[in-house]
Amino acid sequence: MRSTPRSNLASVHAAGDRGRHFVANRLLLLAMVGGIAVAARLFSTSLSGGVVLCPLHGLLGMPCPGCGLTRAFCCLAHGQFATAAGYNPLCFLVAGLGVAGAAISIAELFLRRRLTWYGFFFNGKLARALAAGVITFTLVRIAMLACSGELFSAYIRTSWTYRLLAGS
Amino acid sequence: MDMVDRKDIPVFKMEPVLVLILGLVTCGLYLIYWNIKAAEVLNKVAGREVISPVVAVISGCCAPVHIYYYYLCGQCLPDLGALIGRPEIKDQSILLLILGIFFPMVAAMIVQGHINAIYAEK
Repeated sequence: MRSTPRSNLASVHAAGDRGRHFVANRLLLLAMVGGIAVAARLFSTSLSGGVVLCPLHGLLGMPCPGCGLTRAFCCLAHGQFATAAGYNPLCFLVAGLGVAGAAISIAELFLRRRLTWYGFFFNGKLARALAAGVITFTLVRIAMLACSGELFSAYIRTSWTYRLLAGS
Repeated sequence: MDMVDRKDIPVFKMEPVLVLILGLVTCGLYLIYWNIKAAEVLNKVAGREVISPVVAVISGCCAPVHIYYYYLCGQCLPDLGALIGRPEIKDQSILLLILGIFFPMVAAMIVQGHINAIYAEK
């Protein structure tokens, strides 16, 4: 195995690069969160019958972990929390993290330094526990949809592959 | 002098096509695992915490976060290039961000291809 001196990496990390990334990353995060919030507020909460944009859902007719988040965010933006939970309960977690991330980004841009107190977001064990929760939630949701028969009817209604095969 | 040893980099080598297939077959669930492992490798390569593992998990659920995840992956590529002796590998944040919007699986395959280069024998 070959070792590479950190001096090579030092030449990559010119002070200007890191400074540019520091600002750009936070501005991008703010633009993303702000854009989602504005779009969710502008769109109607009665979203149904639209084009399926998710490639997983389009190909397989199966819900991915984020299925329903778009509609859920729209409902959250209109204060319809119960309806949002019905579309995808993960919306509260994702929205909460988004708001927290935006607040931290604003603080760091103002202070011009990286804060250290949110180091737990870089904890691998926390991430694995969260991943296990999300995967379990998705599998349970798929199982419930399958048992209720909604999974197959949704596949017929929305899947690109079924429409292609059925010739419609 | 600080040394970056390839032995310290977690092993995460697999065929990029397999990433695509597993991602589709598991309805995106495999991608949550892939996001975490790729973030782990890239953070180790960069020698700093560029990608939060929590962001890696959430990116498997939410498309905008997924796009942001690929943007961060692109920032680690110059470090990867320096590690494997290929300084021509530049920051591909913008490319991966755009691919993340339109062809996210292609972005994942590109990142996996770069990661595989770490373990290639010379």
